[in-house]
Amino acid sequence: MSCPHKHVDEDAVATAVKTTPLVWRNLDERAQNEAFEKHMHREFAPGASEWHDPVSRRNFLKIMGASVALAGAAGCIKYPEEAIVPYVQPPNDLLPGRPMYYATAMPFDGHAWPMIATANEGRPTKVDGNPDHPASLGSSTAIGQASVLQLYDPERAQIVTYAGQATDWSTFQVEILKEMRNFKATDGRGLYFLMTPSSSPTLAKQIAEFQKAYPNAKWHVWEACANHGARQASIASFGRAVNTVYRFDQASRILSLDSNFCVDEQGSLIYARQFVNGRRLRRPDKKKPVVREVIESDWQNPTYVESGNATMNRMYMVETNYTPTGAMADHRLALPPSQIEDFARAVAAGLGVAGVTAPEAASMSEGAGGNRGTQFVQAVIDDLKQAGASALVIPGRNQPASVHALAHAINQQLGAAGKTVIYTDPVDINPVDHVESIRALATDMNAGHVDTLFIMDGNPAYDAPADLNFVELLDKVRLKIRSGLYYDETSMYCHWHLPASHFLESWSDARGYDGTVATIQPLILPLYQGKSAHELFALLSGDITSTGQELIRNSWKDVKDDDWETALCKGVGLGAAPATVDVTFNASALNNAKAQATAKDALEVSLPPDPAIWDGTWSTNGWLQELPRAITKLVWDNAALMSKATADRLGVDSESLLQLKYVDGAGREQSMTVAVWLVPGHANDCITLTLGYGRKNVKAIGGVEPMDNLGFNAYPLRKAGNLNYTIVTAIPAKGRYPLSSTQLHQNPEGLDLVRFYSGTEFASGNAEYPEQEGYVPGIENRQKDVRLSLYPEFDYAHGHRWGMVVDDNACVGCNACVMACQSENNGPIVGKDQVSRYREMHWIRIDSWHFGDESNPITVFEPVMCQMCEHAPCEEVCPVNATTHSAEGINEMTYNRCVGTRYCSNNCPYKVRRFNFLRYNDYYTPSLKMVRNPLVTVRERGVMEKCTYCIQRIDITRIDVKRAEVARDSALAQQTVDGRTNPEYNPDEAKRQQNVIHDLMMGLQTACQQSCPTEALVFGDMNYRRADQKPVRINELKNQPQSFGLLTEFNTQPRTSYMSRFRNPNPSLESKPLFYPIKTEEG
Amino acid sequence: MSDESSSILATTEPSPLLLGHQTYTTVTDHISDIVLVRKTGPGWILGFLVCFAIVNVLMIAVAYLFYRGVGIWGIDVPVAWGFAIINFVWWIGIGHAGTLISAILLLLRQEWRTSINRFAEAMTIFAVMCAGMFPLLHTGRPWLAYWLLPYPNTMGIWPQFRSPLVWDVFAVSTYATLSLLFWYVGLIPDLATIRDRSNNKIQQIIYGMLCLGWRGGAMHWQRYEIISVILAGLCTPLVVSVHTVVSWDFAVAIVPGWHTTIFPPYFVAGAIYSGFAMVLTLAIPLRAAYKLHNLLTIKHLENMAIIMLATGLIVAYGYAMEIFMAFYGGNPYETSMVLDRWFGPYKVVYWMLIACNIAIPQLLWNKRVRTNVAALFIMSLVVNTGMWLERFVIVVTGLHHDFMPSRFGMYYPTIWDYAVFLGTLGFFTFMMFLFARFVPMIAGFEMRDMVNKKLGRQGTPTGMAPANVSEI
Repeated sequence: MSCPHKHVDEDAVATAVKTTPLVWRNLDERAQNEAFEKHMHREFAPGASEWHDPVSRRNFLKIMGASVALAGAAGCIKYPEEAIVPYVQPPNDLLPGRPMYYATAMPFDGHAWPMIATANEGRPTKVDGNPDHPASLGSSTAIGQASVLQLYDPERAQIVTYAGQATDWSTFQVEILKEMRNFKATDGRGLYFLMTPSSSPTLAKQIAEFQKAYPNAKWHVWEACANHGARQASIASFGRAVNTVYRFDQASRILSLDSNFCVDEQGSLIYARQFVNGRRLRRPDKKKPVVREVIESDWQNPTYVESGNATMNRMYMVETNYTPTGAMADHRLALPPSQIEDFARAVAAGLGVAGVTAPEAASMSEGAGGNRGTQFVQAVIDDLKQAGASALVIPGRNQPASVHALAHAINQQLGAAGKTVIYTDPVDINPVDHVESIRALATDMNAGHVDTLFIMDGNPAYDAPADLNFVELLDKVRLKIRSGLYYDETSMYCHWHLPASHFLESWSDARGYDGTVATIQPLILPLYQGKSAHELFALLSGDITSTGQELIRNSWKDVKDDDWETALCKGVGLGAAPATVDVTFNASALNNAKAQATAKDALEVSLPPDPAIWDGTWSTNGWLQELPRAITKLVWDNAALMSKATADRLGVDSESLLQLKYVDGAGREQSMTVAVWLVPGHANDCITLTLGYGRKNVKAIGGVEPMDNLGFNAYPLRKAGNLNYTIVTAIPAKGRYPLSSTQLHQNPEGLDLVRFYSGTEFASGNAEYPEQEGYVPGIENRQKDVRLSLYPEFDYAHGHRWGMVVDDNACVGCNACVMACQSENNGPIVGKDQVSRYREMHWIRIDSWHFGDESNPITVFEPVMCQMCEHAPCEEVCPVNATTHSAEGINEMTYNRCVGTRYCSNNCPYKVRRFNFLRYNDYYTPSLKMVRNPLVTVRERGVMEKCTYCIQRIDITRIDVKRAEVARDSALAQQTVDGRTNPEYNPDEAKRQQNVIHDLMMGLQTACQQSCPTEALVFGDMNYRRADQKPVRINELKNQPQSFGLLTEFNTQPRTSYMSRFRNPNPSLESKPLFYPIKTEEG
Repeated sequence: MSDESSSILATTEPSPLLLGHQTYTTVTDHISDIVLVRKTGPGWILGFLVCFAIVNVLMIAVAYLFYRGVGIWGIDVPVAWGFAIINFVWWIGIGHAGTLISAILLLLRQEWRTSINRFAEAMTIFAVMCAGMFPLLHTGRPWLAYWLLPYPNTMGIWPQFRSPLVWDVFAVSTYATLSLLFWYVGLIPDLATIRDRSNNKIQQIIYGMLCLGWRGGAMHWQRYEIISVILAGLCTPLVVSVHTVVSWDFAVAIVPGWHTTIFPPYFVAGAIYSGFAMVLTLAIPLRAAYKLHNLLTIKHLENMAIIMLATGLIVAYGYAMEIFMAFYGGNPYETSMVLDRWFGPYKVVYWMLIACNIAIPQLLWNKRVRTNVAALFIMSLVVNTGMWLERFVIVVTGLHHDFMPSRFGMYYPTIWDYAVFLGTLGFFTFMMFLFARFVPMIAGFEMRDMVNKKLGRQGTPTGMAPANVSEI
């Protein structure tokens, strides 16, 4: 056994990391080896420096005096030692205390999320979507938001190691260049690379050059949770890899075949926005003109669009687990994984796709659901047929190639291809079928062809298909070199571990889901010794001098300097999006084998990526670990999700254990134990177990215990033949496993907390809806129904008056806002145990409310944060004036004044206040101090906190607006001098300042609002009047008839109001549309 | 203290409040010998040590609390108040009986209060001490809890006077001050008796200092009488006001099950209810241990049982009205709260509370039960438990299940919750042990006054029996 992992001395690595001095004179000192110590002691005797300064009487008194004075102080506070780096050369335009913004992008899943990163004094502290890039339009995802924490993760690999021992880049360089010289002789025979998919044009060029130099070197790609089915189907259907882009803005009828397209497809940020835009309704009001919204911020030439429609799209969802997109669907059919293909086949056959025969109706029985499946299929066929080219069928990333091929066939048949479905060149630089790729690598490894293996990113030892036995095959490789952010499972089996640089530390480029290039520029020098893939490839090619910046710039050398600067500044503008490609559908792709039939006592286990920690890459990220997953609201764990009917059949309940028997990679019978969690709307007779958990030897930021004890590793169940699901036998096991969920009660109990109506009835203006006690749409505008109070009403006529609208119709439950809030407001991580004690600290929570049948519920997501009550119950009971009302209508929290009686929390009907029961903030880990937003207090224990409407952002805007107002007024004042017209008066200056004010006011966004892909959160100044007297968006929304408030019967007069959800049910499936709240007799 | 009506009671029939052949000497001996002569028995030492151990539990629990934060308790969001507030209300309530006995019954000239008022007042003081700890321990940042006090400060900010917690500060601190004063003033003549009867130099010095130079002169007695009545007059409204203010902590909030106008009277009744239960819990063992059967008669115990029965019925009425209004008022949150109490996760606590506070005490209608010492003792424990459970039900069930079902939660007390509660019980008992050993636990001069009446020596002004003359 030559495997070096046997000798990994983790303590030695840790010690090496800790003791490496920051400042050093030569490499010996850096390594702190004996030779250096000896050398030092030869030159100066030990303790020599202490002889140098004999203690004079004066010094003695000085030191004694100071010591006595400081003796008391020293007992109180122990300052940690730290090195400081002063701004020797501050960046241009730096204004201390003001953040700087840079465009960059985050590579993820073979594409990129374009971002604007915020840097405070040189530290990236927040990332947001890049509004200029078509792959973001300003919104971001939860994982994207949490990526900034990954940068500062203290668990990141910090130094180069060989066999677990600390070494350095120069050693590696010498070694690898020697190897490369040998490979040169054989043109790289035996040299293998295993990479994760990338979309970087520069990397493509580098690889191409490298391949020219070493033509026999082999390239393989593996990413566990990539969209394998799409890749395979596109090769089979079209004979080439294509990238499929969906146009939800063109679609009136949507069928999702297990695609959680609002959250986890490559283009989800845009798909969600387009999908929701197709569902925004405005009620025609005879008295008021139809509401129009401004899309351009130039106040003089506003361009309006109709943002409300009278019609809305309709979405059908067929899926196994209950996903947020499923909750948005108008009709939903829950099917076990194997039957989704049957469903697609039935729809294709019904639509007349050649070569497809409908399966037997019994195979879509929806478990115990009776004949609903058949009825559903027919309704979908009819509706899609009617919609024709404006229909859209999207297959999920977890579906096999056969389903993707069927979706292509249906879209072709409907004429949707080219209209709602567009094919372009692949975004990925190496568009191969990953499964085939890693299988081929495994074959070569087994055959002993692999001499040297470079594993760049990814974690194949953990996430490769179980039947490849990847870990055992690694023994057959002579030299294993690994580059990655973490010293993870794979690194344990490799000789070299090279730390990779984080995307916020490196230069690169990448393409968005639609192929538009985004530039990636670093905001900070690498914190550790990380090198980017570009730098690593340069090193392999013998180029040891080029910096990352030079490598990227050189790869775009056709671009002029000015254009380059602009592209860097905007993050977009390099190269056009790939053109659409014409494809011919090859019907033979449909002749794939039918999905496996299931045995009577067997259960299918669906294996999708985890919504938060994805394939396990993000499992050390405490923010994501503590992110309540949509619907289940589970944190820090995955679990066997199943329907109540299935659980009853198996004799288990939430938190009880279930033994799964499966066949492992080597064909042996194995078993694993998983905890159960019941989910409404889950398909019967199957289980969903997300990937990414059960990792060994990793510790999450803020996690109390190592990850070994959290969650269940689903990868052993996953085989190359069928990545989608696997068949197991399930038996109840003894014992229980505690799971932490942030919302255990998802039934609104008939309370008027959430509303949904039939969209068509609403838009026609025919339906009546219950009046809400204490709430009149637009009440924040101070009219009518202001109820009695002991205290006089405050006059908000002057200044700002902030308010918010939350559109339940738009919220897809993607969690980006939760993460954005935590990042913006320095939210602490509390850990699994504290969450189980109802102590999570998120300022914004997304309530899931289920209505109707448990097996097929209607679900509405409702983000709830501080409602900023005009008559705030919390303010009246705080004994120390720690929570008070501002003159701008914000319910403010003064942390310094809070003594922690928690009375405010008791009296808050919305329960949006969060208390630091313990010291949740990590004060001591140096790297984690850097992630904090310096504009927001880091709360100590014993202090209450809550949403502030991002008061720090408001403050900055208020100051800037005030400054612009003063400038505008002084410009206007120059119209006359001494009563006479001033000939030098420049009218443009006042207008310019007015434009500045307008841009500031329109540009002010809360963190949650900024991240939201569907614009479900709208914040603004309700007093702000545009120069053209057109109403601002927040007031428009508040005046809509579907506007309502939470618990307004208590006369709290919340500043945050809600808009109800609309559904667009198909009359043939739901003859009488359901709505809520149901109007009662007395009501 | 003497007037026509009470003297009739003393002279026309043998008083059930003072048994046996009693003279000034026997009474004084009996009371002061406990402090001066009686050997400290092994029972006392054992009990004292046990209590001292529990006080140490309290110290550890509090030290750890200050070190880690209130998160060591089971509180959470939604149930942000837990044992600390429950215990606070419970202890404050217990104190009420002492004040009621010493103030209101004094003003109402109830003779039978004499033998129980001293230790009932002591109980009040110790109970208020226990209660007073909790608001402080309960705050997230106890080192800043003084911000609740209205004092001029450089921050230029006052407490928020709309908050009932600020009213609490006033109510409880006034109550503690007056109770302490009243108790101490009442002790002075007896401390002088101890001083005079002691043969021990140290005792003489200590008790001599504590009795503030009392010589038993007519002027002393006159001023003593005046201050007693003034303090009694001041304390009387406090009996009502303190628990009213405490109840506002809840009633002012909008939480279902808290926001109820019936809270003040029902809290006051509940306080007296639990207070008398606690007096019985203390009196019965003390009476047995120190053989006070003649001074603390079955009549005393029966009277207290009757008060318990009466206040218990007021409390029952309060419960009934709460339930009635929840359904009659039609507020869905109130209705759901009541149903949650009946059938929800805390239903066991609720039904135990009904059993302890309403069902079982109905046995007191029976005179055989009222005059059975063992039964009374058990009854008093039952009522104490019931009243503690009542506070638990009010604090926890209102919060855990309020307005937004998405934030319904549970409250699971931790070992530290129990440790602090047990610790205060230990502290309270510890103080009672010290009190019984070092302070005359029955007002000697008032008892002598009763002897005076019993012997029929009319015409001697009350209290004129000189305290420093121990024998007549």
